[in-house]
Amino acid sequence: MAFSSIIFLFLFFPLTIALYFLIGKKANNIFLLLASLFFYAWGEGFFVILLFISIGINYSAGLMLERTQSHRSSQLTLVAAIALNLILLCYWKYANFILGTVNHLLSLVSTKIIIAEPIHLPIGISFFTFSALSYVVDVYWKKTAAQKSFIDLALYLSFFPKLIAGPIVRYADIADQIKQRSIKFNDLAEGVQRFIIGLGKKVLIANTLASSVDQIFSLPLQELTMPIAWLGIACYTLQIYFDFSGYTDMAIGIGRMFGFSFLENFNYPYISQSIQEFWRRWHISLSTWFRDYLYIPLGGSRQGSMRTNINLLTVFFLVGLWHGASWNFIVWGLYYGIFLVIERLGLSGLLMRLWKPLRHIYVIIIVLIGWVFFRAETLHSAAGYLSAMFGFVRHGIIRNSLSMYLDRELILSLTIAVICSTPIVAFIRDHENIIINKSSGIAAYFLEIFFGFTRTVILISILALSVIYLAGSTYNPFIYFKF
Amino acid sequence: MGRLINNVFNIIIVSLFILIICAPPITTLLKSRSYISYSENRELVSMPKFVLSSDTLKDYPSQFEKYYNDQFGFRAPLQGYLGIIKVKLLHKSTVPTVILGKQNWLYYNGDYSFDDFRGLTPYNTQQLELWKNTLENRELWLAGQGIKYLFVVAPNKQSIYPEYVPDNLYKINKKSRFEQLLEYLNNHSSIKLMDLRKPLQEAKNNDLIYYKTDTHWTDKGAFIAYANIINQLSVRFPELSIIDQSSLIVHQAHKDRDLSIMLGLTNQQKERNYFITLKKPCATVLNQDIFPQAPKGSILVKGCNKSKLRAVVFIDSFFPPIEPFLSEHFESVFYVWNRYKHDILEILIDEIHPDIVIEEKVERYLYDVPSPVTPFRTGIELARKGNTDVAIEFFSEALRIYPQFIPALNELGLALAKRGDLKNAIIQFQKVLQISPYNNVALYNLERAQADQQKLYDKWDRVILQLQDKLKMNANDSFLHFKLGEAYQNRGYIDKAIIEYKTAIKLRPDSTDSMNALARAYSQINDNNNALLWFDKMLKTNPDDANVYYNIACIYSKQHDVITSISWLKKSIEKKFNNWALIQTDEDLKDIRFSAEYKRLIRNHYN
Repeated sequence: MAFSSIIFLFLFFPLTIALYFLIGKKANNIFLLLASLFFYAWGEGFFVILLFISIGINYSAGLMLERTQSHRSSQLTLVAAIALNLILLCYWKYANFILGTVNHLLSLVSTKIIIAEPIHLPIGISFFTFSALSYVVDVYWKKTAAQKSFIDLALYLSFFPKLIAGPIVRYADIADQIKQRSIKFNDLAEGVQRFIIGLGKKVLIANTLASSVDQIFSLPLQELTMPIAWLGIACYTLQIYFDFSGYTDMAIGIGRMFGFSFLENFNYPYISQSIQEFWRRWHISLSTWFRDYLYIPLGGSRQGSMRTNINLLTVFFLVGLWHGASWNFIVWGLYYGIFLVIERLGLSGLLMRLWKPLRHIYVIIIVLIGWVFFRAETLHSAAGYLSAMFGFVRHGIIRNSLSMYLDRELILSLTIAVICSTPIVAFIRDHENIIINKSSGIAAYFLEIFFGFTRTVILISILALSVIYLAGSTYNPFIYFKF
Repeated sequence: MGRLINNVFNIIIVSLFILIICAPPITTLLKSRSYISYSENRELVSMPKFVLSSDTLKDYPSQFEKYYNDQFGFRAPLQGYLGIIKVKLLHKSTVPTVILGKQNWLYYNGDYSFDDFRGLTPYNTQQLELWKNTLENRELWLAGQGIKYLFVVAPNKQSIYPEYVPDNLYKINKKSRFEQLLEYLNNHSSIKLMDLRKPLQEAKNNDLIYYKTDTHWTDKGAFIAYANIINQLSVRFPELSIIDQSSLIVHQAHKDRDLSIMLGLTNQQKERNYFITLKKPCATVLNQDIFPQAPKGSILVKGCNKSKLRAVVFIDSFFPPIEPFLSEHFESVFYVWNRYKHDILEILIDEIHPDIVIEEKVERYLYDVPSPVTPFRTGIELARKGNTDVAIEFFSEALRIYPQFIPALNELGLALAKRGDLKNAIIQFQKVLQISPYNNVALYNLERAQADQQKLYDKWDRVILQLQDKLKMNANDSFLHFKLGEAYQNRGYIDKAIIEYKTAIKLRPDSTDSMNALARAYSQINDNNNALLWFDKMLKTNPDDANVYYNIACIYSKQHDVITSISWLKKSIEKKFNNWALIQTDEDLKDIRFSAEYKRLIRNHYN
């Protein structure tokens, strides 16, 4: 059930929040747990059992880690817990890919291949597995105490706002909130506003861009002209940011309404001036996860330059693989690993001496090219798309001109997307307060009312437009009556 | 104070948020269920039944979501707002099937009509050939029964008003499928489609011929089409003349049109147009009881008792504005919706004997190419059930539409072989091998059929030798000569067979068997005059021989003289000819099987 669906927005969400406040504090965790399991089962059916198994494994591992005294046995428990988590993840997420690769290799030497039913990928498995891993490792490191209550741990792992697309919330960050939280009106108000912004980002910007992206990426190569290819990847660059960060905004907003504060997941990644900076601003909960649970345990940057570079490449190989079981994602991850290594080897020093806009251009171009691997179905089609972007494709008949895609709606959403991927709006909001504080008496009130009113109008318009666009997505007319 | 103001606005935002997300679910509960969406032109999904079993449980969420997506409160007004925002502000269509043109003109993009407009999906020669064969077959079949056939194409709106099509839908190839078809028929066939583009284009300078916000022509456009149809028909039926302007009323009205509605703009951009009606219509709706099972609205019958002509018209949504005028000219017209239906037409030909059959199709429906596959599949089905004779009919039908259809040739060959007609079976396999010299099926079956035929020839060769031996002892035995003739005929030596039959008759002038065999041998080599001469002689000696009447019917049928053939067939039945299986499968009678009279005979027999 996506947050940006009619059934979530107009049924599940109002019902859950209303019941949550009706039920009262005593049973609210168990209620949220049941609501989250229902939320998962609605889309994934019986795979909710898998989620339950994961919860069971990590709940027991946490308790065992805390109870064992000897270093040796707690090490063994940790290894076992990590192994079990990874086995679940590998089987359901990577088995198809591994088998495909093995078959490809087999086909080079023999005529036999292994045939097996494809395995369904349960949504959110990468997210809840990573949350679980952070929990058991933190308990092992004694950064946090194990959770004694099964329900509370289950809620931590399955809480619906973050269950299927993150952010990857650390247990330590919300342990106290699970135990006890109070919802102030301000939380609700902040949550609602954050949710509206996220919904608008997803429905009005990302979805609009997506329809052009889908059309452009499905064009046969000989019809993909250079301007169309660049438009397509520019749209996708903004689409994925607004889709993902919009989803995070909604997750943070909903969490807030229930009294949880999740950490931020994005910090205007497209204003970065280096790839290192980009990865500090993009999908922060994932990059810090890899930093804390992989890069640093591998030795981080403390064991010499060569080792650091290998660590970086290893980490980004896995970052790529985490995004999906295909060579495209691996190439995409390694691509960033390589740029990070190059920047470490001296490029960043060079960049610092460059004119600032050139640094931005450098990052944007690297990121745009990277997204081609992320969006294309196969490495082959990614290569084709890139060759179209750089003018290496011989074109046949061109059916569609650029103007076919670049309509008013797309121009508008592209413009808004570009503006909103910079901190301009945050800058204006910060300055509201400065202006108000500087003025005095009646003028300050009027300014306060003016800014408050503008904010209200803008937010409610975004909400109304999103709802209208969502309702429109269920519109399915026929020219003659369908009997 | 600053906090307070901030909180007031926060309260407003939270309240409005709650209102906006709670109003739809509450309204869903309170309002009665909607069954039909007017703007979407479809039935809305109803609530799925909840059954507690693992199978149904799995699909329940998606079914419930379909239901909820169709039924949530404020759905229709919200969708209406989207139409206004998208179309009026952003100049973008809400659905891929409607194209926003220049100056608020709308075009329909269903059925690949703009791919066709742009010349992206030309017919290949094979498809053109399929069209040509289908139309020719239909015309020929109807002409054989004295019925005039007319195929009318209602042009797509973009063919008449291309100037409002957005520039980015430029033409890549000049010709649309319709234009290709016209050119092909012009060069390769005598059949003429009714091309209304020219009269409509001429008229558009004076009147609005197509609605701006609808896919159809206006009443003015429809009247031009009507006038052209009547002009065309009046060549053969001079009594037809276009209704005089003085008996028409022209008035204006304000209505939502279909493409506007599809965009979700009901009540937003009604169009004011001229409508034409008759002052005093003579035609009224008539009851039809020929098709009691037909879905409501699928067949309309109208007629005016001042006329004697009858017609069957296959129509789509372009025809209703023509219908009131056309109906005035006929005693009865059957309007059959949606597409040409052969079975319905066969029955109507029997029942009402139409003078005219009109098939009207909008240009975009020409996208579907007539296919030999349907009769072919029916044939396969029948052959599997062992009904070889009727299967042969269907394979032949498929081959009439597409003569190079290899699977049908192979199947026809097999069916003929099964029926014992090895000679014709071999011809079919040879045809396949001419098209595809290494076709395995044909190669294998040809070999088998030739081997079987050789075996038969060997058998008859032996019989011939035996009979020749016997004749050496008994040269004047009429019966032996007759038998030898038969053997020659079976072996394929018709000339020798004829000599033997003649000898047999000379020896015994009253031998009806020999006379019959002789006449049939002449018929086999298409010497129809001699055949008729001998059948005539037989009738003089035995005027009640039903077989003779039947054989004469066959000869006339082979000469394509349907009426005479039928009359002889009727006589044979009167004389108690009762081999009905033969009547229905005899290759010689294939020409008359199309006729209504023939069908009536068959039906009467089986009723």
